[in-house]
Amino acid sequence: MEVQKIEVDNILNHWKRDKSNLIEMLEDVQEHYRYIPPQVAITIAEELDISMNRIFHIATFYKGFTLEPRGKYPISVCTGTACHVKGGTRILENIMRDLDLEREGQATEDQLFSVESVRCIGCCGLAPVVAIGGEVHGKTSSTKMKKFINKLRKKEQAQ
Amino acid sequence: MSVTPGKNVDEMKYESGGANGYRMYLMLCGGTGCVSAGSYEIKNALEHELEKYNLSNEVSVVMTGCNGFCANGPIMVVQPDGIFYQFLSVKDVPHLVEEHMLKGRPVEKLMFTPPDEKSVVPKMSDIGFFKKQRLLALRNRGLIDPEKIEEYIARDGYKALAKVLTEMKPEEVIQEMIASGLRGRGGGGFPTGVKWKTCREAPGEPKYVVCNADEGDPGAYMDRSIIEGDPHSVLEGMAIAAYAVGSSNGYVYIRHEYPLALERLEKAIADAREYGLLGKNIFDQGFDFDINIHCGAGAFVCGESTALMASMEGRPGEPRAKYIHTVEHGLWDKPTNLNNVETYANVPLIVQRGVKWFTSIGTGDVSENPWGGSKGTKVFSLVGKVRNTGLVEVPMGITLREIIFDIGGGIPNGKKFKAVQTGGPSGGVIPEDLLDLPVDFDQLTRVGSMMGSGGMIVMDEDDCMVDIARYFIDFLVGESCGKCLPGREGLTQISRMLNDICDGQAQEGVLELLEETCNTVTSCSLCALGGSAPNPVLSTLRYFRDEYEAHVREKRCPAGLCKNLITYSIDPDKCNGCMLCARECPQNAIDGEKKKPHKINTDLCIKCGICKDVCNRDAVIVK
Repeated sequence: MEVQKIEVDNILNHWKRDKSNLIEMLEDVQEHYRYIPPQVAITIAEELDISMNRIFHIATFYKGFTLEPRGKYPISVCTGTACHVKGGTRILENIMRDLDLEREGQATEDQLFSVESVRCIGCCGLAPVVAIGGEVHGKTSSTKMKKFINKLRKKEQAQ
Repeated sequence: MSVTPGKNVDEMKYESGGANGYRMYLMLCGGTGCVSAGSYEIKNALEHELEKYNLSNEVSVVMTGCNGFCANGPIMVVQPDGIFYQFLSVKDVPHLVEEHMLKGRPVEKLMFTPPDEKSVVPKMSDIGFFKKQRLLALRNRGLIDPEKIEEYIARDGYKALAKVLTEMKPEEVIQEMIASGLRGRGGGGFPTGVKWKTCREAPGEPKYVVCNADEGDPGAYMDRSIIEGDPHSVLEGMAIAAYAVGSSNGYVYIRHEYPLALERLEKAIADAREYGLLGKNIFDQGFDFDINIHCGAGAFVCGESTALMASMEGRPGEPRAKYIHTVEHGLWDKPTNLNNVETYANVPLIVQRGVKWFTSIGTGDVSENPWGGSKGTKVFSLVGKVRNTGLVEVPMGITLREIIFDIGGGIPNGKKFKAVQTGGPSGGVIPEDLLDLPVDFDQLTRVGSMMGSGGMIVMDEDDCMVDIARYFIDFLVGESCGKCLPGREGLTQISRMLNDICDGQAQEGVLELLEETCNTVTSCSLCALGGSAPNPVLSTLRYFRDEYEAHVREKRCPAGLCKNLITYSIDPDKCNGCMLCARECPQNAIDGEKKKPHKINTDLCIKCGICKDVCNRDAVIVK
């Protein structure tokens, strides 16, 4: 994705170019680009006169940021305790295997999906839970997820 | 419009919702769980059907906050009769509206039937899950539309703030909080009034009031539910705290994983500003207070006070040593009062109903010493291997057995109870012989666990205690900020040992080394999160040492969970050859002809468990 200086400028201005809002700025960047592009990090560092080290410290500290693009449909597999005891960790392994992904955060070749484990989505009453592109699926299973992902992929390919 | 003291709040009650002439209210749950199960679609369908029968002027559909009985969602309660409907779907709606709303005949097939019983329980108040609950923090649960400030006000909302501003001095408010014995619901259990007093007396201006809504404990969602269901109760609590400590700046630190809660909170703040309940010169008493939201970017450690404040200042959430208290040197080095969502939600109620009433609920005696007992209620997220999963609020002092068996309905699928985990990654497991333990701050700590923020995860005989310990430690290794050595390296070593044990690679003597390492981390870590991190290991070792020993000595996982120590096979007597597992197996490791028992090729099997998930006859054996 091409990085436009104007977009970065808009984000910085929205947060009044105040360094203490750096986390919020990076949240907006993450949402816009689906990751923190190095070029954006450099621009922010220059514009706000802060070190790249500080930006990367934050971008790698918080789980909400990624340094490589997420898929169009980010898949968050909840591995909170309730989901863990109901097999959430197994669902994570099975989805990763189905999508042929080696590590969390990586996107599929067609850039449609990326998989991450998240600590708790806060729907523990519905465990195990998986969120795909923001849509929450409760009381799910490896087979249900596989079917849903295949359906999404077919829909995308048809377009 | 702005609200002037006392009487106008009462007047608004009538303007706003109480007496507008509907004969029936359909209170549809709009918590995250039910929304994900389609409650907005059901709302549209209901309104469409009501329109069809010309009932829109008689029957009102209200989206409420989380009902609590999340496992059975989408949920709808019909008021004023209190009829409880569960597992609703859009296709049920035409029949339901015609029968119940038009002809007045409630529909039995959508009602709750207790396990092992045949007849339905029509009324919500008669269902076991709700019977033993006592709602204080969740007092407006299912009764109001959280997006309408008028409905909160109609239920006596902001009355406590009016009382505090017009009738009480800040010192009196603090005294009241100390006398009430309210202790921090985020897990620490520190007396709220004492914290407010320290903050008020601390030198430095301005002072800040912060609400911790960074609900990081995996397996817990109390705060999410309170904000989604009754955001104004939190804002009112914060405003009272601000008046007491002498602050005019408030912040809510909320997780970015909670989009619905964030949306409702933003709306609530905007509405409160419009009504003059936040902003300048509230109730014309010369008191200014406003609240801003800070969205967390995902780090468990940010629930820790100093890390949370570092994060709010735009830095990585790394804790600092605790000898400098945040009530004196907090956000931007100024005195900062930090309380949890549930704590704030309790505050208006205590002001309104008084200390005597509040202290009549709970354990111990707090009249001389605020640490002398646990007063009021606690909200728990009752989840895991229990029939009725959901959110429950119970009086302090109730036993674990009552929560898990009377409210939770016991363990599903005929399995046996093994343990309950409380307190999240800083807590521990509690075994069966302690089920009659009364639940309060001090009792839970005494048995090696803790109250925590309120996660209560029930486990059955299929859960491996070593795996649970490993799960929490691996979680904490990932979330450790890396600042202090015990937290960074100690936890890594503990994780290695636990992984070896689960993989069947551990040698004799590992359990002693594990204990020693845990004790070192406990005593030497920089922050409370590190210090409590070994609790899951220590408490499982304390109550389930035999399971650890089976892994180490016999290379066996008694619960049948640890992958390296188990094999999958098919019980030929149960298998009917339906081919389902063979079709789903990602490894093609299952052979067999149709209608004849299948077999698993263990050389190909990767133990993914899909065959066990899909089998309808429970024929897959794990040993």
